[in-house]
Amino acid sequence: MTEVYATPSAPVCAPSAGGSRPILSVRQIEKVYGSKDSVTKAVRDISFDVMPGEFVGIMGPSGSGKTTLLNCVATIDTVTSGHILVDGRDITGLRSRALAKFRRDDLGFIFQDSNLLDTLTGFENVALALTVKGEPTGQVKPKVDRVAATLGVADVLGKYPYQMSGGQKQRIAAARAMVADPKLVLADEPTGALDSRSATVMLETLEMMNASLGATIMMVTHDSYAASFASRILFIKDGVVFNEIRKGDTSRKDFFSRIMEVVTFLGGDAADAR
Amino acid sequence: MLAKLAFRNIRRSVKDYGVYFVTLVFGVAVFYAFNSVTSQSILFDLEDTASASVFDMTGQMLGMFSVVIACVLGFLVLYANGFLIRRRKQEFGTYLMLGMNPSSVSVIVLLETVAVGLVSLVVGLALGFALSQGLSFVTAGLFNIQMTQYRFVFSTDAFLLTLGCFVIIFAVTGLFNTLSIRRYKLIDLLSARSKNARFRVRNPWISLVGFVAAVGVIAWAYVTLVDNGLLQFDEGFWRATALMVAGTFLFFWSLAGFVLAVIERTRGVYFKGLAMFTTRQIASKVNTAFVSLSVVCVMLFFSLTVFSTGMGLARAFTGNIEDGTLYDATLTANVYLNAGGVHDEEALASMSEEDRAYQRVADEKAAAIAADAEAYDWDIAAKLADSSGVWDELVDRFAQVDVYQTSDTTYGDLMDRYGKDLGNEKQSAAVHKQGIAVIGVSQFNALAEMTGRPTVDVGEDGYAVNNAFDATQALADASARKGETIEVAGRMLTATGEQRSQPTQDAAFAADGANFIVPDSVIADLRAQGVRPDQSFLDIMYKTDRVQGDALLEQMLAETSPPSAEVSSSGWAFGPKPWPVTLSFTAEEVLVQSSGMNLMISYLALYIGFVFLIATAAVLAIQQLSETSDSLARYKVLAEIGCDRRMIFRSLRAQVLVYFLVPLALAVAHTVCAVSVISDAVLEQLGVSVFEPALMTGVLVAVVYGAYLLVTYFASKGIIRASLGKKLIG
Repeated sequence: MTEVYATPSAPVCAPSAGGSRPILSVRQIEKVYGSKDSVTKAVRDISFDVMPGEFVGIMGPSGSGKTTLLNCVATIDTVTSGHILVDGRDITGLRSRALAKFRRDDLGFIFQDSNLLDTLTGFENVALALTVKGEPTGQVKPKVDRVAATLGVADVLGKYPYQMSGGQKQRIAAARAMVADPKLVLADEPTGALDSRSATVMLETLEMMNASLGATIMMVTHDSYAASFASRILFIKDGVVFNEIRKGDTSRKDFFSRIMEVVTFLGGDAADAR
Repeated sequence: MLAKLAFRNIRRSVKDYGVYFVTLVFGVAVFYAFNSVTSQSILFDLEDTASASVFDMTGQMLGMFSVVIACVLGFLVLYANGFLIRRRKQEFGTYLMLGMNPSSVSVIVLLETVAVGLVSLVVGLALGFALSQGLSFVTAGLFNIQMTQYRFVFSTDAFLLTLGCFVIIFAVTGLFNTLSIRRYKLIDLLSARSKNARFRVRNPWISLVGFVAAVGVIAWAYVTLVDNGLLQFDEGFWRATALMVAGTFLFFWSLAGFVLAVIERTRGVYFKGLAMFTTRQIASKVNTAFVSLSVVCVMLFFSLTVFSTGMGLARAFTGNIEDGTLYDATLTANVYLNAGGVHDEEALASMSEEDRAYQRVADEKAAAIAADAEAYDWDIAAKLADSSGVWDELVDRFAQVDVYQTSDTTYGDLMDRYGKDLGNEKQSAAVHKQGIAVIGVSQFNALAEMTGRPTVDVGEDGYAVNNAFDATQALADASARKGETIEVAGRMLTATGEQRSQPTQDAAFAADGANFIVPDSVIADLRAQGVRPDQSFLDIMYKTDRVQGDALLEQMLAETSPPSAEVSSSGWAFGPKPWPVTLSFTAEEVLVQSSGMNLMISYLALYIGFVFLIATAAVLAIQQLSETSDSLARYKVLAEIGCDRRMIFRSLRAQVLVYFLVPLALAVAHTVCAVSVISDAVLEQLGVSVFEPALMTGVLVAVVYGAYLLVTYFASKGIIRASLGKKLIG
């Protein structure tokens, strides 16, 4: 059952669905911080593909470079070398305005601390993702209501963030990420600040977004339980892809055990599973 | 160690402190410069004591208003300081957590206050010194005098006053800071930020009611003010003021909730780009800061009104100088004052013996003066030539004008007949019952000839109108139309259609309102009926130059009518009598008075207007800058969900503009109302158009307020750019 590869991962993963093009292609990216005197290589050489409709988890201990990787894909950070292709387009060479357009048109974000605007209601927070895109004003309310109903947050749309629970905030954030129908949803430790019950609801929401709404999700986490909701896990250590496992047809419980084995093998502080 | 920390803090928060510091420097500079005006007089050859006294008076007035200015600047310092201190609660909490003594934290803040105060005082005084040198050129220009020898003037008085005022301000601020830091609890300090995240949203319906009420109250205030006419500070004035202040508070209290409710329901606007965010951002700011916004609005209103009215008044004093100084001197006899005692028998009977004796003396005096005048046939020149040898030495040419009042026709008759009034209800009512003023044609022509202006012919039964006063122009025009008639001394006179605008006296303001020039025979008839002149003017041209002539005139008047000890001690050179001379006013005095008033009012308007303007603009700037710092996390989220630089800065621009322009707009509305009332009541009577002062006010606001707005916008932009970094915002 256990598949632990101690070798560096293959540069390209086999496409899961025959013939379709990957939505995200990361090609040999490298990220170096610091000046001449002290150089830190956060990401050494990472390559992988994400196919449409996939739910990919990125795991790794603190300092492994997983957040840097996510930030580079999110275009919040830039790579030192290498290429990132989204739907066939290289985003590493884009200028800042084109990057902003890419973020609002093609990406959806869910952060650990939800990052909702505290002056706006839940509805407005979700709607903002549409209005900044230039969505026709008549379309805004129906779209927000639809996604909120799907994600079960219709009843908190009128509330302000300070009136919501942590779980509600995260699901509103998920609605914001989903509402503009992005090519790729990026989630950075989405359950990091939640209690276990809310975390499970949130993860089921992500799972449902993936399964029912067809969202392609890339989630960074160091929590094995959270990772077990993904369909494929990339393990990162010291800036390289160390291993990769797929859920396949196994149950989530089995997948969780396999993840735990890799985590144990990897060591480090990622071994804090529930 | 503490000092090091304090200086590091100032350096680090220089972005928050910057606007405040610059404002403080401006405040100190202006404070010094205007208080040094008195000392500037040594730059000029002030030939007479009148000019010197004008400088003293201007200095005194500026000094008096400096108390108000010091209070405003004190308020600014206290407010800005308190604001910056509150924002740093968390920092103080950290100090205390690390085991620092509460008194040490106070010392740090005290050191910061002292450092900022000291630096701004030194820089401000230096700038003020430079400014006061520039101001002396402006003074020379306004005062129409040559600067004989230029040198640097340092005013010790102004320096000490500035130093004293600001040391007190900073001392109070330091005390205030220390006390407020001691009052804080550690838990409040540490959780300060998260508490701030909560903001108030008002019920839209209550806001709607509040907003409608606010507009109603403000409209009521305007109506009350227009009714009051600003002629007196009576109950109506205070009610208007109270209503305006209350309306302004209610306006800002309800504004955000109301506008938010309206925009929210306008989907086409609300769902466009960052409109939602921008609206919410402004609304939450206005809701929390409505008190200071109201204060800012009221102060702005005060600043604009004082400045525009002041500039208008100052212009009034420069407008008519040439017409007001046609003659070297005018001696006025206010004969109407020579009424004597009480002539009502009943009233006399009810008086005490002492009072009756007093009345008898008054009657005797009046009779003596009347007898004297009759002896000279009301000829002032003859009386003066008889009484003093100086007359021949001084007077080159002269002309006397006697103004009579007829009881047959009143100004009210004419106003009613032609449907013209004086453009002001109260003034019209005041002269309504007054008989029209008539002048004999030969006296008028003699005066016109002396000044080389056109004479007039009224024939046997005609009349012409002489008017040099804007407010009565319409009435004069109507009365002078050929064929119109008036009744004087029982005779019907017909207008010849002629009109003149000959000033009959030296004055800072033209005062000849619709006098009627009638045939000499009519005057003779009036005299035959026992009518005495109401007022007589003797206009004199000197043989000597004006300064020398003024001295001789004084001597002549003293010889004619020596002042009593009492009169002399209050500064009069002669004893004024209803006849021959009640008042003496020379061209030189008009010039000094006009330019002196011009100087004083211009400087007061500039001083008060400028300081209030920078104080209010600084408050808005500090609030907006700290708002930007508090909102950095929000801007980061916006960038992350894909807003580019242009969208974010457009939102910021809208926020800054609304935050600066809404209080200004309401203040301008208040000002337009107040100034138009003042214009009706005062400025138009003085023949000053409100257009130029309004333009000057516009320029002042555009430059000063605009500068603060721009600085705030660019500094906010810098804060966002620095925080989000190049990667996110480019």
